[in-house]
Parts: sequence; C-alpha cells; structure tokens
Amino acid sequence: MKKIVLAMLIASSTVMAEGNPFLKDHFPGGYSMVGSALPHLMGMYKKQGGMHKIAPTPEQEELIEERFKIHSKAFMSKATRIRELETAVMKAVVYDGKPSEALKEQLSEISILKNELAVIDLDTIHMFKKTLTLQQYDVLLDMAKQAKK
Amino acid sequence: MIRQSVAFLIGTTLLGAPIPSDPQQWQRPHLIPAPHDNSINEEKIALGKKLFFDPILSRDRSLSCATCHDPVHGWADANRAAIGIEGRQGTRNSPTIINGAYQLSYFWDGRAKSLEEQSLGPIESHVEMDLKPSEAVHRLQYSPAYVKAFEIAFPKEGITVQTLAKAIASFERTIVSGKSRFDRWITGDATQLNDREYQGFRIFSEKTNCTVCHRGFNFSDHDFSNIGIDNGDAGRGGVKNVVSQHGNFKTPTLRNVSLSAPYFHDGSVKTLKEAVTICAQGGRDKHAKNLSGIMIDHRLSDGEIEDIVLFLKSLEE
Repeated sequence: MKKIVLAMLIASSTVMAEGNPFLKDHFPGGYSMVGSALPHLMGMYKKQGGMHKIAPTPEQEELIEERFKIHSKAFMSKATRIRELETAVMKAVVYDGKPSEALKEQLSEISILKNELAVIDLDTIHMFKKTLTLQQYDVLLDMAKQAKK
Repeated sequence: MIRQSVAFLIGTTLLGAPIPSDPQQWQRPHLIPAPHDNSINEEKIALGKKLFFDPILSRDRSLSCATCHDPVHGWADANRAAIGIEGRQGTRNSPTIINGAYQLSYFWDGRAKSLEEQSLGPIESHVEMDLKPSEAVHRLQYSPAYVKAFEIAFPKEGITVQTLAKAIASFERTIVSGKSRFDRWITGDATQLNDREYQGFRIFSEKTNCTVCHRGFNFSDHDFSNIGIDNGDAGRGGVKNVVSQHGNFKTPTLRNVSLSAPYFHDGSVKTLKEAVTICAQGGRDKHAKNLSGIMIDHRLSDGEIEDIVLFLKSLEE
C-alpha cells in the first residue's frame, strides 16, 4: 500500500513538472514582471465591452481606433520582448542559479521597455480624456474601478 | 514492481490536467440576461422555438431560421455564406447563435444592438428569407395555433412585429453553452482534458495572444478586429462609417467552433486547423490596411497548432 501511494505521489510530481512544459516558463507562483497585454483603459474600452456602454460617435470611434492601431502594435511588441527577457531572467535565476549581477543587461532592457510601455499607457489615457465626453470618460473610469474590485 | 507501475499509471490517469487557478473567468454565469421588456418564460421560449424552426417566416416558405442556424452544425451551417430563398447568395458566413444572450451586439458588423433586433434581420433580408416582418405577422394571424400561442405568451399584445421578435429572441437566449468537456474540466473534473488538449489550452491562453480577443467563457471580447481576412467587405467600418474600422469584424465565440466550419466572416477557410494557423501566423493578408496590432506571428510549430485545435474541439457540446 505504501509503495502504491508513493508511486502515485511520484506520478503527481511528474505530471506537474515534466508533463507541464509551461511550468518552467514562469516564475513560481505565477509572478510576472509585466502585466496585461493592453493598458487598462484601452482594455476596458475594447475588450471588456466599454465601447458598447459608452456608445461613441463615429468621430470618437475613429480617433480611438486610430490610437488603438498605433499603441497595440507598439505595446504588443514591447510586451512580448519583455516576456522573453523575463523568461530568460527567471530561468537564469530560479533554475541556473545565476546572481542578478550576471543579468544586468537584460534587466536594463526590461526597465527601458517598461518605461516606454508606461508612456504609451499614459498617452492612451490622455487620448481618452480628450476624446470622450465627461460622462463617457466617467463610465470608462467606473468600469476600471469595478474591475479592480 | 508491477504494482508500482500500475499505481504510477493510475496516478497519472486519475490526476488529469491541472485546472487553472482562476477557473471563474471561463465559466458561464448561471443567470441568462434578458431585457426588462422581454423577460424569459416557458411560453415565450416554446413559441420562439416553434417560430425558429418554421419556414412560414420565409417568402416562399422554404427556409426557417434553423436552416442557417442548424443545431447539428453548432447552430451555424456548413455553407461558405448564407444561402437564402431561391438560392440567393449572401456574402457572409452564418455565425452561431450559441450564447447570443451574452453578446453586446449582433451580426459580423455589430449593427444590431439586441437579439430582438437581430431576429428580424434575416427574415427581412432580401438575400435570406425576404419577408417583411409585417407580412410575417399577417401570415401568423391566419394560424389559429399561432394566435393561441401568442395570446398565451404575450397576453393582450397579440401578434405584432415586436412580439414576433421577442418570441424568437426568447428562444435564442436559451441556446447557451456549458456542457462541453472543457466546461466539465474547468469546473473540477481534471480527467476531461487529455495532455495534448491541456497543452493546447496553455498555448492558447498563455503562449499566444489568442485570449486578448477570445476571452472569457464565451471566448469573445465583443470587440471588432481586422485579422487580415480581406475580401473588400467593410464590416464594422461600413456600419459606423469609421474608416479605421474598415475590415473589422466581431470576434466570434469559439464555442462549438469545431462544428461550425467554414470559418471567418466570409467562410473562406474550410478547416479549423487552417483557421488557427492563419491567426497564429498573424493573419492571412498581412498588408491589410487596418490589420490589428495584436496580430503577430507566434511562430508556433505544427504540433502546437494541432494542440490548439484539439483543445478547441473540447469546446464541442
């Protein structure tokens, strides 16, 4: 009986580690150095149904869509690159035992990219503030607050 | 030794695919939303179902709603584009109606804001059922069975264009997901997905951008995107006269997607594997004017694409 239980425990750890290639692509516990793929207000508008609640005019929709085209491309490529660097850093530290001094170049690149992402994010919020009416903007902010809860 | 090997095999089989730590986002809410002026009840659903399957609503009485939204084909159909009365050819693929109750707009270009509005569209469309709703009402008023059914479902309202739309919409609201192997897996039965299907889900939800658009229990963000399937159709851009939305179409649900070939708004892609490959590679027409910035080439292997396809098949009901 003990041998059977032991075999099952071994099986479970095998499934969890070797049977799961993604486990080694993430920091333990799911920690991530970069958040969601889209800045939260644009995400609210485009991906959480905000557009349908706000009911933008065609002119507003044009401006927002143009902004989305620019920022999604830039955001996606930078976020993807950060993710690659993060995975490399994680593997180096968690599995290969390297100290942070050995990873200064990658960490520096991550930091530059995150700064650029923040600029895109803030410019997007600025765009929404300029483009939407006060009431529409409040709807979007409200959605963001509700999502946070 | 033999007992240990058997235990090992039993262990790996029993344990199954580990369920994500946030399963709620993939689970349909129990409550089916309905507007204040059309609450759901059994009488409306029964009437709506009868109407949905009745060719009385087409000009030549040859087609019903179910002709293009066939339960056998995942509530869609197997044609590239909808075929109306007298073989009239539509230009867009018939989307599934599953989980319609949870959508925020209807049709590929989102021109209808409610299921009630959507239900009348195909009836009236020249290339589909080609019957004015007022004429449909007139026909129904000559049927004692329908007169009685409408009186029960809509007391004192009778048969009108509005109650016709409400009845069909009420039935459509009952077409919801929740019985697929994926649903059983996400609600706790780890044995419902095999290794490859599970890997497919992980690739879909973590390695790629799929869930930026195909998110939540309905695998749709209710948004409009241009994924590089360019056939000149303006899509959302034509409805709102928004140039930057030209070629944008609504993100379809992936529920029952393996049953609803062919794919994309123009039905130009015959197989699910090809559809997944196109999306994973960043779209078909990479120089499409408004190609979404989300569309990137993820450089997936053939095996990874097949894993995604296997996962998507687990959404079948």
